[in-house]
Amino acid sequence: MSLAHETLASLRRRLSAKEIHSRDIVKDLLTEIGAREKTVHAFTHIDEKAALAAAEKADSSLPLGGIPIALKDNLNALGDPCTCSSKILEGYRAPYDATAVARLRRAGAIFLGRTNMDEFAMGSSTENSALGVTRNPWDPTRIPGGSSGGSAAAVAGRLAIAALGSDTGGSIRQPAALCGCVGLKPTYGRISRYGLVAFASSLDQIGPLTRTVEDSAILLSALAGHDPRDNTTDLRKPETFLAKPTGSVKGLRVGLPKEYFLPGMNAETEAAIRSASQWFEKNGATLVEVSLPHTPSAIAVYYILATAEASANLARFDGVRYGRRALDPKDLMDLYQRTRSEGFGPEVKRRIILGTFVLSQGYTDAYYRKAQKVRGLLRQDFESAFTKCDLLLTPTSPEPAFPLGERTQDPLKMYLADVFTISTNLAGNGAISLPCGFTKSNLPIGLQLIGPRFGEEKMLQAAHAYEQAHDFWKRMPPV
Amino acid sequence: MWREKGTERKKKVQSLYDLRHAFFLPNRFLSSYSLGLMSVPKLNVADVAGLARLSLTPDETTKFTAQLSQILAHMETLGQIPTGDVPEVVPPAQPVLRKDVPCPSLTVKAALSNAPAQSNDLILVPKIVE
Repeated sequence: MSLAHETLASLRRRLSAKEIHSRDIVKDLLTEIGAREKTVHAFTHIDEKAALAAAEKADSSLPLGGIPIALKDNLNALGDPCTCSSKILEGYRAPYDATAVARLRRAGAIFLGRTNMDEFAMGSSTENSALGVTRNPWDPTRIPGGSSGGSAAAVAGRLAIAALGSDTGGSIRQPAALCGCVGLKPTYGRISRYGLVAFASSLDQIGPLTRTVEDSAILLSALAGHDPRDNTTDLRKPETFLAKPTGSVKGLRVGLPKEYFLPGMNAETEAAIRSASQWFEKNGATLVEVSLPHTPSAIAVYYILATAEASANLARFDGVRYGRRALDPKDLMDLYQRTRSEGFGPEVKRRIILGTFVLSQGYTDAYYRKAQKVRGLLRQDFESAFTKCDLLLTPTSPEPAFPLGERTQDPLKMYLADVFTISTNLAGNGAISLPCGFTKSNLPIGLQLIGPRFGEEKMLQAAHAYEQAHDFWKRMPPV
Repeated sequence: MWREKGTERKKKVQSLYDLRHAFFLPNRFLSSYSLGLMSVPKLNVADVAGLARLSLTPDETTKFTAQLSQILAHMETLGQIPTGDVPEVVPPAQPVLRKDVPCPSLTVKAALSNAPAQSNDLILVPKIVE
């Protein structure tokens, strides 16, 4: 069997036992990429020579020694491109490592491939990439989800062992659900954001996309911890997640938020989620109905706050210090305007305009500050729900992967794809998506478990127990 | 970790400020508006884009106006949520300051490695004073 089909945990064991060499994994991945990347287009950049050279030097005694990992194209890795799938960062080479990248490097990982994304992580389908769309390995006429669609498609399509993504409103979990892999958005503050190109700083969080929950826990253990370069990172001591898997959910109180089970939702998704909740009950967990009453407001709150923060964060792309610069500007204003107008795609422009508007004089109170208040209410919803249960169980996405092009002309409809993931970013909680079934047309369905803040261990234990009792994660996409 | 912003007194002052703004909205970006969030404002997309240093084509302006009006209409639903006594929250941040000690940072060469135009270790930009 090609090593590209194995889990990170299994490869790690075999590397440290010296059964295999890192170069064997890289070669097998490159073979898979050669065969299927043309169809999937998960990557924006692959440097085969550099990956093979790094594999030769890999130290298999390190925790991730010789494991190849793909990086979303918004994470700085020294010397590599970091385009954010935008024309405005054409030609840019990172002059430093993001902390998350540095931690993986220190643990011995090597990097193979930069993965495609919605431009500046703004989107739910990876169709907003200036570098071409990514296709879902389960059905190439459909979207892989987004914005970390390249990472999810690469992991699901066996083109990467594991990948990093970033999640501002569901950008790790939703593509993981739609591609049938495991996506973890850690609690805000768990992983340093230093070197992640900022979209909405109060919501952004880096996390792993993997084949299994165990692989997710391995990467989280390597990535988590305080970073003096990001003062929103948590100060608690590093821990090893899922060090002793219990395989049990006995005694667990699982909350089902009633606002996440709406009449008219996709029937196959609902059936899969109901069946997953029944599995928890059958195996000794208690199901509790809870309410997160402000859920219907989450999308509006999110698109006010995220665009406001983005309009400020993206002001740095002005053609002065790095990235694209418009040719022959007649003055500084012309340089700013033409650089930005030529460099940004339509969704980025739309969000910058919206964010500028909600922060403009006279409207900040009505939009931005109102949204911050409702954000407070959303957070209280979660706090109160977690007095009654240990974890929340919900669908990750209201429906399976939709066809390419279906929503590109209707941004609001596209925004609604994130309805079940957005609230956790606003509240700061961690959440994981894992496969829990397939539709009749063989499209993956994702189950979301949401934990209290810094409750990743319990969340990973429950997810691992569920995953190992089923074989959804073992299924291979046709492409 | 989420801090409540302001004291009761400050909140009172703020609500007066809100009220003033509600009645004296500058008519710069909206060609029609009403008090509060209950009606859909008509957005002057080209003006706001200018503030963000973007210049739009006529096609973009038409398209964005329609799309953003629809999105703003969705956002109006927030107006129905009572938030009178709810404290405004700011994103979680710990009051953690690192020790004020020098540590290595990017070299001049690395910092300038992506500059579109440079000379003598300086970034070149168009003339800004006449």
